Amino acid sequence: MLNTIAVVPNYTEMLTAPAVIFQFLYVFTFLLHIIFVNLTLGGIFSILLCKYIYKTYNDSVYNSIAHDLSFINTYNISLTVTTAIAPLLFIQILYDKFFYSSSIIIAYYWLSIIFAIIIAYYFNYIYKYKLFYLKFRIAGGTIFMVIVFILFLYTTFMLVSNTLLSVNPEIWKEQYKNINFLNIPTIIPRYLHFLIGSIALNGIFICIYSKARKSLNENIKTKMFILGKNMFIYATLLQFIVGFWFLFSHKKMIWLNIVQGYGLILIILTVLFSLYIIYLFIKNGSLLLITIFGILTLILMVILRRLTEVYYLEPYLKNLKFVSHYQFSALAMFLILFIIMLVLFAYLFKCIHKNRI
Amino acid sequence: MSFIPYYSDLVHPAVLISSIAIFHTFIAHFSIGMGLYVIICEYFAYKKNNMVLLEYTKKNSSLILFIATVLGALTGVGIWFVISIIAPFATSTLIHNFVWFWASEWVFFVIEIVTILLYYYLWGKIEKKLHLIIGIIYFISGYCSLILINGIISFQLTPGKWLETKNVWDGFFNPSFLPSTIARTGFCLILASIFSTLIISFLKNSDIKKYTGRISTIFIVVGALFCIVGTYLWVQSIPENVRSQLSGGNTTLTHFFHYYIITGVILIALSIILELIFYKYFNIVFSIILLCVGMTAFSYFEFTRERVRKPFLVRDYVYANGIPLDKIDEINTTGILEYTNVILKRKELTDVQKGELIYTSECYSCHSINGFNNLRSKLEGLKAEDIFYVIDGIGYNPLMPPFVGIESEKKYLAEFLQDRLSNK
Ligand code: HEC
Repeated sequence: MLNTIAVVPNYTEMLTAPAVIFQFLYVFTFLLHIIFVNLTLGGIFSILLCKYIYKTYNDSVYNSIAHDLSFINTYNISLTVTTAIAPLLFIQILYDKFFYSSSIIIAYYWLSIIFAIIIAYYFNYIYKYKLFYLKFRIAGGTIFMVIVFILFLYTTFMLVSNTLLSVNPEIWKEQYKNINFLNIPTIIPRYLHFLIGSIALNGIFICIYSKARKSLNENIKTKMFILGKNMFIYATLLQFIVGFWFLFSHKKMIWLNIVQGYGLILIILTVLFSLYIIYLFIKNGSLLLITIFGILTLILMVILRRLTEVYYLEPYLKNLKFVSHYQFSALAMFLILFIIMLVLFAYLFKCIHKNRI
Repeated sequence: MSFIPYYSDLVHPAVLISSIAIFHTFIAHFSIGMGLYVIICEYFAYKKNNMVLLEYTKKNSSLILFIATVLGALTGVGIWFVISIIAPFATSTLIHNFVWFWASEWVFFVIEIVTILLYYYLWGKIEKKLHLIIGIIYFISGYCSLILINGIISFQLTPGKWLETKNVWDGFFNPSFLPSTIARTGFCLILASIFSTLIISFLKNSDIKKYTGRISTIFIVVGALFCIVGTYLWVQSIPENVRSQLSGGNTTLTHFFHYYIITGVILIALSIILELIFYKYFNIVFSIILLCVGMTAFSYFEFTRERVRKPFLVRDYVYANGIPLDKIDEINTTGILEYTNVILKRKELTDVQKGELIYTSECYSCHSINGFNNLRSKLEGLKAEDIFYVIDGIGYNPLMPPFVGIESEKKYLAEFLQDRLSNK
């Protein structure tokens, strides 16, 4: 054990505000980010699914749905990137010693996600605006979205790997010599858990979108809604299996910690909420309730993720050294700007709504 | 105990960071300058009721959307990834000290992205005045992020009073903050002008080519003024002994600085001639030439700025190889091998392997054996004993940190270098 603890750097770091503030901001901004990650990844999945249904059953409505969804997907990518910055910043305040170390170990893979995202982004634009030869082919270009999907699968896999590697310093030594992603504990169930979650969350989003877009015709709307509903229900049923597989793939010490502590409550609530959403869908219940419970489930999962992270890092945390050097004036600057931003957006969207021509 | 050393046979870290950083800053400056450019054009288009000009403005705004929000944003994240890998300790210092400035920069970044999306997709869909206001907000938030980031970058070169007070505002409003902000404002205007020629070259109507050529010329001229004043003040703001390196003291550095000025002057002269006089013949070839010259001038400025900071990452606080100045005494008594994060058990290593590890943690950030700033050209043919004395003296070179560690480690390093340099 001593030998492995030694690989976590041990210099003293400066804390410019009480640690709880950073912990809160980290979890809060991560939640914002993961929503858009899910919408992007699930979005591409649903586009491909529609393309598949269109090709097999020759139902052109699904082609229109695919196109419509690709239109909003570039916004989702933009927001995914924008919201990524904040949690990335705050995790560095708390855990840079872990996070940088794991980034160094998988350096090239980690850097390559930048290129993957750039290419995926442009390919999504090409598909959306039907650029180049796609102009002449109304239903063409699926290959672009297939590539986008592969690139984002790759990106998210690297993100999951880096996160997991960062909380497992005891495997740094072997991974530094020779990277083998499949040897990172819990990687497969965790990644699957995340993918399936994306599909479920995107299902709810598609339902909301089908109701919110006024310009769509009724036929498209109905089919879109059913698509979203089925995505949620099937993904969630599958998630019950994968979720528990993931839970028990942790080291015994960790999963015991989870089920003997708050984790148990979080898990029970998650299962109950998900079942309730499925019930609402089947009974054609309120979409507002579905959305609220969908987001609540996501919040529970983000908290559970955080809890697990702490369990993993616990043996190392006591060796971290911080010295407080609070900068309340700079913190105030950030908070004020943040509030200005929220007010500005609210005001702008109101104005845009009023001034449409 | 520090971080695991990063080592790569493929690309040298210095090459990696400079290429991504130059590319990113080139786009970032353009996207801010272009923000101003489009709102000015939009304003005149409405005032003169000129639909062609409006169409031109819209095309320019698409450049921001498709270049800045994709390439610009992601290469920005890329810089962050790269520095945290190749210089984790220094990055950690910058992040911890300036966290609220980074966080505020993030707020502006979010505003920027949201407003440019709205601006582009709402062309012709909302009232003119509101559309223009959205453009103005985009520009202001972009400019504010420039100010914030520039405060942190200029801090690295001239941390000023922060070194004693550790007060973040002292670090932010450091001696070279204002001069470099002025110079960078100039870059924004110049880059907006040369990027706009990408669109100008596809315009058919020669009246509008003339008109837009004039707007772009004004941007170049005003930008040049900012650059000249900013660069002059910037040179004055850096410490005396560093300035002398720039004006002859160090050959490479002096060359970089001169090339920056020469290519900058060529760029400005060329743009004025092409945009103002030969506007009728303006085509994509001219535009690409301008972009290339611009990129070259810009690279030389960034090279100068990087090299002028040598041997530090944060002047008088942490060296370019990641060794903090306040740890030197400790390392000189316990050894660099003790400080470096080595995962392989140290006892298992041969002397040459130990030397390699020392090389990786002390020299590799600025040198390679055969490629970038290579040691082969400097030390080839020397015996280990001679290399030992060279290592002893490297601290006298103003661009290099001194060797830190114990005597035996100097020997390991010399042995490693002799070993590596004697076989190709
Ligand atoms: C901060 C970056 C930096 C680091 C770290 C660094 N060097 Fe250098 N080194 C330079 C630069 C820049 C030059 C070229 C100097 C010039 O142009 O005059 C140089 C030149 C040299 C030279 C030839 C000139 C001279 O002064 O002897 C040798 C030998 C050398 N370095 C060895 C080393 C060794 C060995 C290490 C590691 C212990 C090292 N350097 C670490 C930046 C660095």
